[in-house]
Amino acid sequence: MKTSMIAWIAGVVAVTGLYILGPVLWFNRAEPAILGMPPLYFWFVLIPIVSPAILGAVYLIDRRAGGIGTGVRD
Amino acid sequence: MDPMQIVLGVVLLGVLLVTWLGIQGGTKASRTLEGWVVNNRGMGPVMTWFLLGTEVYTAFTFLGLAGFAYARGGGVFYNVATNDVGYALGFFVLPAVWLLGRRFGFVTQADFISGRYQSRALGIFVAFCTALIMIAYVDLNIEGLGAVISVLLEGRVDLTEAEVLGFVILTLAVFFGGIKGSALQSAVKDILMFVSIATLFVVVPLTYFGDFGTMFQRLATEVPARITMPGPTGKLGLSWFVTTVLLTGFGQWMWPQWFNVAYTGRGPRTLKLQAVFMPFYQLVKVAVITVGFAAILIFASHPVPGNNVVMLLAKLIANIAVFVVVSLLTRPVDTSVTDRFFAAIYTRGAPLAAEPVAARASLAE
Repeated sequence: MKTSMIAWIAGVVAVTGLYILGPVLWFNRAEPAILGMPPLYFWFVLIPIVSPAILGAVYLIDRRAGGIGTGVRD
Repeated sequence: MDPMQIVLGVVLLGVLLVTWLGIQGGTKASRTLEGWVVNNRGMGPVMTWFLLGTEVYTAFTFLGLAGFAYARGGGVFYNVATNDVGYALGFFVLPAVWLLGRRFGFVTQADFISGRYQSRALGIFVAFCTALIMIAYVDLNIEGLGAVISVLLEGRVDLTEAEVLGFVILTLAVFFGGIKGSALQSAVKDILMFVSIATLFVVVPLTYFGDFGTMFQRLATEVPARITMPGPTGKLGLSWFVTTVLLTGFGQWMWPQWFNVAYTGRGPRTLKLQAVFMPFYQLVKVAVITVGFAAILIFASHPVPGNNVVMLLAKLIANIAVFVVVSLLTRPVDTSVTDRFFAAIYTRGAPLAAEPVAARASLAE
């Protein structure tokens, strides 16, 4: 339970941090283009793809560590 | 025959078919209160994904978000960030809510509050607030319906009549179909929405700019301030962005209609999988935002109302208007929202017997 909780908190911090810090630190600009896209636009295309990967990792850790409700069959 | 009459005919047929699907598919499961409101806690990951998708992605996503991008610039990306923060949070919160719901028989947010705080009065107050919020939410979406019809038919149909008709259809679908009918309708609506948004996303840049690269290059060189923050209004800066994402992201599950999705899931695993896959939905928002940005250049010489941008572009590229309109009108209002409204009105026996200590203990199951 403790491991899964830590993984979940890390996941929340990672997703929130990526969304917030990207524009704040660098991506809030129109040029230079990244893969043909304005940087801010590029960032918000990238993170919705990265986010499921982060939460997918949290899911796997949670399952292995017996996270909340793991014992319930569904 | 007037092309718009054909569009209207297709729309009407689509609305009737989807309403029938919802009523037909949901009636059997809706014979009990638990069946009607939360489908006996029996929805798998796919249906829960569609259900939450339709709760989150309403007429605002389709019409308002493009309008926001068009009128207020890069600040619109807050809306992409906020839901994903909420999904990450929901990975733990929703299974916890589900476990407590199953243990103590909660089917609404008001039940949950009432049980956790051992206060029937608080539960009734939350139910009352839920009903009030849902009235505003239903009204917002009915307004969206009005915006679609006004652009499509150029004022040839009485808006009030159309909105009343939409509301009657919605009420029938909810009353007989319950949450399961709503989920089935959601699946159809979402697939139509994906098709229409994907079509607009591809066709608009190709039609007006030749390719995506040219469009992005023109946006970056001609209107850089319109695609970044703080945008043309000068008010939506980075501090606004950060605080808005944190506030709305962390507060996401306080919305009663989203909170209740936790009860419809088959179990914690369903809700965790949903949290993993929901962020993909945000790409739909990015596609809508792209259309809104394209509109900045397309309507540069003759500004239009932001909320009409999507429908105007769909009309300009007339052959895809049918997809857009049917996807919006098959569910003029998120029917599951109305479900919550009626559920909030229904004041069931507040589960005062629920022991807070036992409830906390059950989280550790």
